[in-house]
Amino acid sequence: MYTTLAILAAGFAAGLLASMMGVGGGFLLVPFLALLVGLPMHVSIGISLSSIVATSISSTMVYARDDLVDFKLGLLLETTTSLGAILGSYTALGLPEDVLKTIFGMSLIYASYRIFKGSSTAEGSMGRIGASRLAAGLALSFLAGMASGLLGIGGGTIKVPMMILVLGIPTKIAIATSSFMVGITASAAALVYQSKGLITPLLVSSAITGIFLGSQLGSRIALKARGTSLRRLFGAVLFFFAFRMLLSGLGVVG
Amino acid sequence: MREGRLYARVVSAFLYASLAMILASFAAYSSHRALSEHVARVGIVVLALAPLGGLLSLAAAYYRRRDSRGLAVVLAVIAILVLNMVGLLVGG
Repeated sequence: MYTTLAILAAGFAAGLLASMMGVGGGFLLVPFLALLVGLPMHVSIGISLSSIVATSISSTMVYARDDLVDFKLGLLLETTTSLGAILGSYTALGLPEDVLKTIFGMSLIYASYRIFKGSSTAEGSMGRIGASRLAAGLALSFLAGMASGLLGIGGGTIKVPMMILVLGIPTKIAIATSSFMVGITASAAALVYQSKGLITPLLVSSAITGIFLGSQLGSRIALKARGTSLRRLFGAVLFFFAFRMLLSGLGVVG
Repeated sequence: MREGRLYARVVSAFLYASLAMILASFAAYSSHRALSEHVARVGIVVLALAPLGGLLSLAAAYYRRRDSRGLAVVLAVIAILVLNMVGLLVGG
């Protein structure tokens, strides 16, 4: 019962902070579950992936009704992303706990730096996508899928800048299309963790409920809060967990 | 982009069905623990299958519109997901 409540609280905190920053909750939920609740990394990643499916669907529902999702482009990129996610999840299952924590810690340091610094991506303009740019997009999508299956994240931190900078997609369309893709990617990887018995239904239910409640409150707070200070605070919190995860992976702290 | 509205309708049906099962599992947790865990498990599987359901609706929309490129790319993604599931069922 304690674990269920702790996961509900972790999901609430991840949903609250993630929706305030407009990002998926995976980069927050995994360290919360692994470091604060004390769940094994593989279980934390499995729970995170299942929760991401729910959050991605709920945001895609809104974007799709507003015709912001480029389905054909998303599906084309998803061919390599889902392959990457399946490969990434099998790789993660073969890696020991401390190696996963070290990889996650290093990835989180990069993510926290990007969030702290703020977005500097130029607005893309919709045009014809050349073969070389498309090939680069497919390769980067594969990497995003690998990161998703390996670390339990949505991969939007890779997909959105890739679509804007490499494919020249306008920011709003890139965010909406990435959100559509994240649900498919996470479901492909989550099924792998589910089949290995790493996803306990009641724990996932708690995480999903917590994330839903947290994101409802977070989006309301975000409307009133100041953007830059909020982003820097979020970056600092993320960096703390990244550093803690890295030390845990290297065996410096328990 | 009419397919977007169809996709949203299908995945939201899966999501709400899954959330209803999750809430029911919480409600039954103290009195029927085994049943509660079973219902939650089914809810999680329904949730994991939601994107596949959405993709099938996209395939139907592209088929009706005779959009061969759209149909080819959505069938490729469906094939990857289905092969993954078959692999998991056969390989364990």
